[in-house]
Amino acid sequence: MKSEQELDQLTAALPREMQPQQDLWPSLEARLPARQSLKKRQISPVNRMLGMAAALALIVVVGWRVMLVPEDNAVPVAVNDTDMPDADAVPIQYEITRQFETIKAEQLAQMAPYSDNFGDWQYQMASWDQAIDQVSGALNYYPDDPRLLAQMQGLYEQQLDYLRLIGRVDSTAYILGEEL
Amino acid sequence: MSADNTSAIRRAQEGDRQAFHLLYQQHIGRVYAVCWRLLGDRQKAEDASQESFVKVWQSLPDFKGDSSFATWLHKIATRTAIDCWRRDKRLSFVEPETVDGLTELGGQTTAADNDDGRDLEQAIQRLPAQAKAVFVLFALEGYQHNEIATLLNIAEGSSKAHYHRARQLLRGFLSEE
Repeated sequence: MKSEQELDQLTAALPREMQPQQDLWPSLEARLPARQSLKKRQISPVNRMLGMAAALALIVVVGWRVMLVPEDNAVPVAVNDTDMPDADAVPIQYEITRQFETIKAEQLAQMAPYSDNFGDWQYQMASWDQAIDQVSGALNYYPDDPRLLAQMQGLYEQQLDYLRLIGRVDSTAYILGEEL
Repeated sequence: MSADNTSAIRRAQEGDRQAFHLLYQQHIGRVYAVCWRLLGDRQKAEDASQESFVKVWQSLPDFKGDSSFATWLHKIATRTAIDCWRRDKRLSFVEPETVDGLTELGGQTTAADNDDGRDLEQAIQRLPAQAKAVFVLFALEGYQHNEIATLLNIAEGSSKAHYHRARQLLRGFLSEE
């Protein structure tokens, strides 16, 4: 049996290169897929101007749509300590409810029962109402818990934002003549 | 890396086939060698070599020069050859007489140019598939066992065991004559 050293010597002596019997290049070249040059494509001045004009037009249209529909006034209802009522006053939970429910009722009065863009929006509103009821139930046990109060206010704000969004999108569609 | 080589790589990245031909000529020897040794068949080795260069051509735009071009190219070639080897893996021994191309090796300018070298090439082809792959990658291509384990999807310990077994078998094969 050959020794380890002999095997190592034989292995080291093996050529690291072998040439194929035939030139592989012709058939290889035929297999090479076409490749785009890596050089950066030059943008013609005309195309550059067209692109800039398109971008400008997009900005104008978007800006016009945003500016045209004024956003309703937000309802600031603070729950921080400085605005906390006295112990004898109405619990803040009810104050939050009263303020938001008033605005919500005004918003709802202006809305159609079905939105072309949002479909059955009342279903989504019902989900928020359910969540508000649960937080309200918890507040019956912990009426001064700031996290619960903030949670309730957050849920009401989400509802109002949603109503405003529906009103804005639907009225914009009307202004643009999509319903004409 | 010479300036000419750098220029050829850059031009090939931009789609210059003549420049890529130059790179092909520089590296086909090593690419074909690893393909042939892993696959043990001239036709399969040629196909794998071509496939390797097609992959190199396709990947060239992504070559950033973090490693040497030769290292990068040979990694692609080795992986391609292993993919072919995996598809073609046979666990049976191959008789030296049936190994395609072995008799032609002596006539090649860069193949083993003595009887001992030819005997070793033939003996390598008689090894079981896993042992052959590990031996070729470790002893001839310079990969480490952890790298081989990743390439062949085996444990590092298995790679070492296959290498040890390959050496034992080779020593036995070479002592038969």
